[in-house]
Amino acid sequence: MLPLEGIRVIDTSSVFAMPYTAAMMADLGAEVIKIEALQRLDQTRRSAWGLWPDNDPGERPWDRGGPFCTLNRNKRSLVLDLSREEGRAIFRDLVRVSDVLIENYTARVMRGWGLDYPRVRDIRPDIIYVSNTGYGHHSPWESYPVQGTALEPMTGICHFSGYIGDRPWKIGQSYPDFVAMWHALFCIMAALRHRALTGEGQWIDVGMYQTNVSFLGEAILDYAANGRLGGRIGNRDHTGAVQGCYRCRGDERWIALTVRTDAEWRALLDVVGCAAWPQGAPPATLAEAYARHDEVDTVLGAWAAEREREEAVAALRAAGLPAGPVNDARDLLLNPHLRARGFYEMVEHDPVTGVGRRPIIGRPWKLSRTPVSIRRPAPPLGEANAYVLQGLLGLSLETFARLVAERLTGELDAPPEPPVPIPLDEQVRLGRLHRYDPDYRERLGLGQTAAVSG
Amino acid sequence: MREGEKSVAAVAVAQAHEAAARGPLAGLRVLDLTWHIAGPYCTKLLADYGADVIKIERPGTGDPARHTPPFYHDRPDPEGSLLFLYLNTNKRSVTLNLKHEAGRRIFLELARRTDVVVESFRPGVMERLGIGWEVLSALNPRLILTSISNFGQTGPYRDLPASELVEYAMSGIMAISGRQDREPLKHGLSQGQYSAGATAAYITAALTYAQALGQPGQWIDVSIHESLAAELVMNEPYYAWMGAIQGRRPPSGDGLNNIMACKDGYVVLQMGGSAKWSDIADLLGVPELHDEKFATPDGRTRYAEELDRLLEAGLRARTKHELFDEAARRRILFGIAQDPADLLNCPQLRARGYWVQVDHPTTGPLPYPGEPVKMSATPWQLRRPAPLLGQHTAEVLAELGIDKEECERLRAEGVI
Repeated sequence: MLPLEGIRVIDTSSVFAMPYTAAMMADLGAEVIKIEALQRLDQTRRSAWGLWPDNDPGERPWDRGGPFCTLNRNKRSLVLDLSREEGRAIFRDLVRVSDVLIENYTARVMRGWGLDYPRVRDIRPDIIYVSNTGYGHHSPWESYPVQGTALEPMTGICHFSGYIGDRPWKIGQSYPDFVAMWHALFCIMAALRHRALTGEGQWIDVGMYQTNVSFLGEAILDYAANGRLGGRIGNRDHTGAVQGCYRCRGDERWIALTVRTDAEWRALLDVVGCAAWPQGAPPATLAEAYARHDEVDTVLGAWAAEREREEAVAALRAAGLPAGPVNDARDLLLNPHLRARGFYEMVEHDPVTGVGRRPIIGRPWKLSRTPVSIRRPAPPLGEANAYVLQGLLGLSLETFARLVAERLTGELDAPPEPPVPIPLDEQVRLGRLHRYDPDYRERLGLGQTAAVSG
Repeated sequence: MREGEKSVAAVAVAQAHEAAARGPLAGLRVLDLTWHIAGPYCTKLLADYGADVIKIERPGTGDPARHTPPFYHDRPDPEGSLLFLYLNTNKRSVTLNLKHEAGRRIFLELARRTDVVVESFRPGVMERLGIGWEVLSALNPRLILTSISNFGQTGPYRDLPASELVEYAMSGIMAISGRQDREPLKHGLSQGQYSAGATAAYITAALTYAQALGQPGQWIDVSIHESLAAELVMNEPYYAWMGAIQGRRPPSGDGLNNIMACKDGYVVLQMGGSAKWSDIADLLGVPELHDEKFATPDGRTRYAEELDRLLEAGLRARTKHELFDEAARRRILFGIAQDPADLLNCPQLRARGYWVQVDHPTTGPLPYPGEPVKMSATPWQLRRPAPLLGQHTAEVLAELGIDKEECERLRAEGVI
């Protein structure tokens, strides 16, 4: 029995943080019903996130996006328009038979609809109600709209991220979303335990901002106690290790390595040699190497530039040093370690979507007794309308037909906005993509190559 | 109506807070064998939300984080590492030599009475110490064992050494971070370690729910590397859906959705949400931005360099706080680059009651980040500052019926 079997989750959320949260609950065995309105699809179903199979929007672009399929696996899809009272009446009926409700509207929306925590608790007293906003409810900025991209510098982390002497940098993609997701999941699981022991539900009010600042504790205390503001040091270590990222032979081939002790420093000298040091003798200790970091970077940069990436990594690892390649998505999908661990799962998508078989990000953890997997692909829009409305809630066939006719539920026959795929060649030329592999299907073992539109 | 709504909800929440005495994990007993950042952040979340976390430390030296900067007033002191003090609130500290047979027996006696063990040794060390999953689950079938490691407990990289930088490099995040004409970048500080810690905390908490329902325990294998790789929900599909590899950012023509300079700092102007392009043009007050060629995503991509110049001209004329407030009024997604001083002074964080004064013997009171998430019935609580090394050894051993005399003997033998 999976840990969350028997738990039903209503997921009205959009974009990354909360959809991914609900997906983890679905992976763990919960029944997750994702609710969208025909007039207001999850943003990851829309063109701005249109990352379609072979860059082809196809007949049902809203069901075909890679991020959407990743963030919504193992869920069911219900179309229901909550902006109309009849939609909300149905929603309340669904709440009565559900355990967890996840929403990420700005603070005024659920209140305006009469669906905020106090009202929902009246219907289902032990509900675990999760609100995710940029800054948290009942606070000066509660109505400020924000998403991960704009939030990242607010949290303080960009002050510490970037090249020496340069402006602050954002790193990765929408980082604050994931930090919010992990904390939200933690609180939901803890709340489920509390409910199991006491019968009491509660409101979980996630401000993404606060969750992210919690990852900067030591830097904030350094300021509070020592007045030190810190700043950007590139890829260097702030606690005395010597490290960096260096370019090898070939197209965008880089390695990263770290030296943490005097013994590791001597091991590194054995690998790179003592001849190439501009100031004569190489640093004898880690502390001296840290003090001469620019010179160390020059020597290591020259050493790496003459080598293949795999050769350089192998030499450093053979000396017992922490070292590795800067992997891109292809490296990761073909990586033998992640293959052995089954980190990416091959998922066969619903035939109506035309997505086919694709590897999808699994989970960064494994359970010994109840292995977790992607049991069903992301749902085509409205796939569970009949299951939820007629099956779970017992609406008659006539009522169901009327709701479809009024577009309170139903399916989509055309995309709300015309999809505009930018040809991959053009994206490469504009610097939006580094490159693409026309033969990626063979490389990933997906079978025959379809024509990738260049 | 909106004001009335607010007061109804606020009252409900206030009542729930009053009713709550303890966190959602009250009554959960945790043995914490972790060190440095990832494991301690996991057990900090457990402790801050109510669990009784007993931190097992090596006699004499303790958690290596005790010897890691920053230090209070920059004086190296095992009781003054600000990193350690932050990560170990609400925990109790017991020194125990697990390599000593008597130490191992004490550990097993504690494990028999505990709900969760969290560890971050290299894979295989728990087995070598004679306290691996087989031993622990035979002793206590309810027990949850959470293991946090660089690359997981299985697979060809299991035994490779790693660092924060190497994890970031191998995760895929660095390949898309930084400028195309410079080296790939990682996040500052130790975000990979915190990320894995929060990941370990949620999956551990999930199993405590199953445990509360009477299900037997499990061994959880958390990979730091995979915790980071799991963030790439666009980058991975780019390749899996169409064979495309994203690169780093172009040196110019990339202002939107990225950090740009304003009059007195740095800001991000993000497309999306309910704002229209004309709202952004109005915010910046640059007439040329109303040109139709910028109104579509395609046009903004094609005329990106020209667009950047106009955006920068508009931003340079205004301060970050003026822009922040006006962007919010216009419902534009907008952020400013803040540093620790900005955060400590932030009116939003103050209004949320985010900063808590923690009084530790070495430092006196300092403002710590507090409640990351508000839980109405079972709020975050500070019960005690980070423990001194071995502060609770006698107290915890007494719970096992080990008296003062025996403690002295164990101390003399180097067991505790």
